[in-house]
Amino acid sequence: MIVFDKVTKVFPGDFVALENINLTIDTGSFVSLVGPSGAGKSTLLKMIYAEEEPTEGEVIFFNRPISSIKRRLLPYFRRNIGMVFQDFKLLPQKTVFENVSYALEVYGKSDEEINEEVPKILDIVGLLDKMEKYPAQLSGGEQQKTSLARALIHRPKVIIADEPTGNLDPTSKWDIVQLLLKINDFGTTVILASHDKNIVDKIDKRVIGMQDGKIVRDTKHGKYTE
Amino acid sequence: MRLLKLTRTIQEGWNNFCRNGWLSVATILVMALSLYVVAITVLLGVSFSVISKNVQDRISISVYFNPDVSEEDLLGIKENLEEYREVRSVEFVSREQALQELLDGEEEDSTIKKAVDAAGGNPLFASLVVRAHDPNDYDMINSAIEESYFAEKISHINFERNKDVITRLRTMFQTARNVGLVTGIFFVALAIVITYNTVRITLYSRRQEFEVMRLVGASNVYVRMPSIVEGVLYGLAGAMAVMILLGVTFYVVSQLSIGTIPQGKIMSVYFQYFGLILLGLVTLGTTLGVISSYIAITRYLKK
Repeated sequence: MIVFDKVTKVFPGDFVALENINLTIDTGSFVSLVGPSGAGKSTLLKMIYAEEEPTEGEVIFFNRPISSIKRRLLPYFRRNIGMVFQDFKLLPQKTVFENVSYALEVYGKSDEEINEEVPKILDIVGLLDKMEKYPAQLSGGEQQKTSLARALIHRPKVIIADEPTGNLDPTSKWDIVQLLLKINDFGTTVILASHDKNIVDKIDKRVIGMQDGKIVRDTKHGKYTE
Repeated sequence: MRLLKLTRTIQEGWNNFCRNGWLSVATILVMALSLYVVAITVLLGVSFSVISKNVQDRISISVYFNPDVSEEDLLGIKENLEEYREVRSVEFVSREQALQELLDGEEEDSTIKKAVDAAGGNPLFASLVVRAHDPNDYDMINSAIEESYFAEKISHINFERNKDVITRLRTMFQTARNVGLVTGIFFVALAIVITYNTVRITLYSRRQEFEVMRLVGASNVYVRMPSIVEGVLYGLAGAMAVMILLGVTFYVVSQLSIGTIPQGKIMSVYFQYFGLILLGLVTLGTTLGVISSYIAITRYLKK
């Protein structure tokens, strides 16, 4: 369970990105975060993976206040969270296999475990036949699937997807969303920030609407617009 | 676990090094050029000091004695002179030796030979050739000889004639040494700055990767280490390249200097000091690479 308790974020220049956010995301739920650019979606997500700190209030991750985690230990904390971004954030010098295995290597997993785990995950996202390719040799959809495989490799408690479909064609978009739904079925909490009306409407799960740093609506089986 | 991380880090660094292609090549080239300039400066400095030592060794005062002074007297004076702290060596050249040296290599009917014959015997003087430890002491040695107990036995001393040349050489060496030192320091500083900037730009072009690495849970050490391995590799590759470049330089110089310096001498210096030069370059190169990488990447790990 992730809890935002009266969270406010003010950036230098008195820009209020988030204002008094109170939010609870249940374990195993699927949440879509919608709203125009600059509404504060990304800032809210960044607070979960400790890339930004609240100016006021507290974010609690599975009963643990994130602000209590020592900076040195942040890399270990981040292994609880899988992240997927609009720009994929793959390492261009590494093959699909290496991009995914890197997340295990930094963890200190043995080569045997890596050689066993990585193909399994790549099979789930359907990239088993492309694992020796470099990101530049892949389509956008395939790159995002690689990124998703990397996010999943730790079997994280939470998947955070910030506009994961923003750069993709319609078919690839839907592929990615279905993968996210599948992951959620396995019990992983998924938080999706999206601009895409079609997709959010089709998912038919909890929708949180944001505007100007505030939560403006929260519906159980919501649509992009009311 | 530690060993596993270490081998992985080295593997990472090696992969980056290979897969960066042109970027690595460019970095190595800049590194090599900097090291080359440093190496040439140092080598020039070393050979200059060898040459100047050589020339200084040849400076001497020749004291010519009147023909009626006996050989025993001269050997006595020689021993006396050798007792001076400033004197490095005293060489006795007899009249016969002087004549021999003069006629050495002359044709049977050469002018010199005819002149010697016309003089009706050996017209030369016996002499003592005095060398000092320090070229600055010749003045003093000269006046000591002029005021010595054997002064009236001396026919002439050739010091006054050589004095100008000696002083000029001396100032020339001092100037050259100072200029060499200043330019040397300048070039070394230049090499450091250029290498640092090149490595920094190489890493700058990959700064987003460092962010990604951190986001997927890599600790700072894990992000930093491969780049430091890369720095070592740049240094090693640069040093190798410079060794080849230096070999070529030595060969070209040895070809250009045929006739002035004994053949093969220059190349043999290269092979004789190969290990030492390589060691110096590798040390300098890897140190430069590692320090540059370390500083550069620290900037991108601030957060």
